[in-house]
Amino acid sequence: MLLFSVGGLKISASKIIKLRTVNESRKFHIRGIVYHGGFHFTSRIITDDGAVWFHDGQLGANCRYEKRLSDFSEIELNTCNERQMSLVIYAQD
Amino acid sequence: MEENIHKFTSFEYGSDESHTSLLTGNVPVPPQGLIWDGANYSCAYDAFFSILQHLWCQDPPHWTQQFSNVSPTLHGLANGFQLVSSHNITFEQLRDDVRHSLHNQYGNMFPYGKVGTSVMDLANKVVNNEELNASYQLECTNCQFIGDVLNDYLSPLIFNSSSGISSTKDQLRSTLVRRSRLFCPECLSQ
Repeated sequence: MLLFSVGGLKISASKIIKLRTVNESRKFHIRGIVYHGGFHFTSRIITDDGAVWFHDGQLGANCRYEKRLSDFSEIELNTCNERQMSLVIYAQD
Repeated sequence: MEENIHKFTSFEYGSDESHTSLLTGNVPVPPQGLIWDGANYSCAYDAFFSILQHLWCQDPPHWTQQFSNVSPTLHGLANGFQLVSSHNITFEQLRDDVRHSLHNQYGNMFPYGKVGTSVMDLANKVVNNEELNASYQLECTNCQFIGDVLNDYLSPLIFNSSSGISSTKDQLRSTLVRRSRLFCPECLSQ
């Protein structure tokens, strides 16, 4: 698992990060993004089959389906309901 | 001129699962996130833990092992996700337990009440582990000299705001490969 602090920076979230080590190559897929704005945090949860779900604890437990990750541009992922990307989480599959 | 090259040693996940195409035709089941605690503003925990819990739910044995490898707090969270999964506690109870533990250790950083918590501080503490988990080598870009492998610590939480970084991919590259000010012992270049 890898986490990236991107709050306050002009950094976009790569959907996949390939990491070459001495002996092998690994792929990390984006699995979640935390957004901040208006004194509140929300998140996007990205499932292993590429679905993107919006979560806001103030709206309850259920997440709202948005669309497929492949239909998001990396710039679109930078914001969510006017909140800015703050933390990006990747996992190796 | 030499560069520091970090090499992961403890983020080695063995799964060969490939990505499958999405949910064609079926109505997807929504992930279950945390419900906000309006008395003790919990949104930083809600946002971060909901992502971790969904990740864990996709392959509990695998992610319990991986979380346990990362840090004691993530190990505790993985055990808690198991309790939530078997309906022994609610997800909100697990959040509150972890929050309580963090508050006891770092009261100013993780307050109660209507005071904000930094999700960066939260993520940093959740993945914190002081054990050596990586290695680095000095490599001369002039004469190809390669130094000994030395143990190092690399946090899974990448902070990097160096100039020229425009993506998380760049952030990682800039963190793993860095210029050193040391002189090469072979060709004496810097």
